[in-house]
Amino acid sequence: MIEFSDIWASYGDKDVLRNVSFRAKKQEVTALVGPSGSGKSTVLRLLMGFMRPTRGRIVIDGEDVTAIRERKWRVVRRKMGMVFQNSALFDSMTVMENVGFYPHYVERKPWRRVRQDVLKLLEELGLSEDAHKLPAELSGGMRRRVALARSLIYRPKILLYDEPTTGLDPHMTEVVADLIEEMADRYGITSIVVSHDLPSIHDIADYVVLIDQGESFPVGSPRELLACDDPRVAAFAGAWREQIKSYMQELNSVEKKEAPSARTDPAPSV
Amino acid sequence: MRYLVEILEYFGGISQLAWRLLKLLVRGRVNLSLLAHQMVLLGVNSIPISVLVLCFAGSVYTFVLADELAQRGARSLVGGLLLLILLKELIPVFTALLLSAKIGAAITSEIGTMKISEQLDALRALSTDQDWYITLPRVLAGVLMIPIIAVFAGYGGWYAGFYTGHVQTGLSYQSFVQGAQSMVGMDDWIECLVKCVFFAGVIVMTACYFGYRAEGGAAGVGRAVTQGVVINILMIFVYDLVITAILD
Repeated sequence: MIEFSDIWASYGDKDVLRNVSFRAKKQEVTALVGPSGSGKSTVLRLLMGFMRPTRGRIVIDGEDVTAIRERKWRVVRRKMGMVFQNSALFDSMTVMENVGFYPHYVERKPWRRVRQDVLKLLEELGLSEDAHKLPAELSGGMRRRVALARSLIYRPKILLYDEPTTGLDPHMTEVVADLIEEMADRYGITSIVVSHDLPSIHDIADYVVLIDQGESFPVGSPRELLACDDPRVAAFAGAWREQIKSYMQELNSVEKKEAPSARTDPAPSV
Repeated sequence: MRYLVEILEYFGGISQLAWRLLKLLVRGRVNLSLLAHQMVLLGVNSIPISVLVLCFAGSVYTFVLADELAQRGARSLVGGLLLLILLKELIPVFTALLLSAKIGAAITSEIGTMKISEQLDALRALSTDQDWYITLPRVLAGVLMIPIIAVFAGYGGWYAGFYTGHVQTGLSYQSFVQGAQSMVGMDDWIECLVKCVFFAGVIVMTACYFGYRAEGGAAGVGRAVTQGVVINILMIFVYDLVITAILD
């Protein structure tokens, strides 16, 4: 579905991606993981046509989009959606207007028809009560779901997620991760998830690519990432492994302390 | 050298923006509801302040004129000279200066904030041409509404000027109007209209241009607003001189 071949990209004189290659298969969740500043978000910007690579080839759904013009990109983007790291909701519009933006302004559907479709989708995502709120009135998790709804409303074939769980509490992280998995399963959407948070993508990713210092290391499943003995992959996964081990040790010791002791008190009277 | 490059970048960027907008116009791609919304925001809401400013400007100029002309026995020329000054300079230039600060700054900060918060990227991700959605409605609204604002403002300056002249020198309205009729011709009205429309386009396109270039967070948006307003003020005076030289 998506082929990223030998891509080089730079900001000014600085190369941020060097010879990055990977493939994202249709209807699968491909995770791009790596430390902060490694170039993961740049990959998404290239995939959306917000910048051009200096070298290499990008093919989306069989079409070479490497050097197409902005007008052609607008056509390609109709089969794509993106959930930005900070959601990027239009802050002067309500939730209803944000989600209904594409059907009203791009597909030119009248608002009375758009409203019904939007409310139906918001109900599925647990946001029907918030349709008339502004983004500033929403929590981080709600904003992410609205951003997802804004892309889902036009049923894209491809969805890109830029750090979808960053800044969210554990419960909301799980909710968003489940949504990503559901989108792939229910709607057959090809998903690319950029994240530095291994635990959140561990359950949902079908394939993992490590991006480190602008270079790519295609790995395989999340399990293979943890077991990989390539030094760079092992260093990234190792840091997470240590953190999770330490957390689990703490959790185990707390749970042992909280386990009920043998009863010595008299039984309560009825 | 850096300033020269920036000036050339500015003229190049504005020219490219104007060309893109022209192509959209020729293709008939104007969203009327977006345009109407901007006409209210940029135009209707700017009428009161513009009238107020021109009232004061008209009064001040009449204050200076009326006294001097009355001493020379030429009180009857007050109306004509005031209207000439209003049409040639006060209405187009003062309105443009005021609106470059009021609506120019608002447009730059709005677009700049959208840029730094990735809302512009979100627009592109939703297959939307930002010139069609953001720039064109604002430029068209400015070009349509600023001349209308100028008309209201001009009336404010005219009547405030008459009132000042009347209070100062006992000038009658009939004398005020007769002076205007004898000194002001159709070409002066046309010059005023041409300047208003041209300045409107420059103000809004410059504001949009600097908004799209904002970077570096909130401070960057602030810098873009300042640059936009300063360049607008400068360009208004430059184009004022050019248009006056061509049309006079």
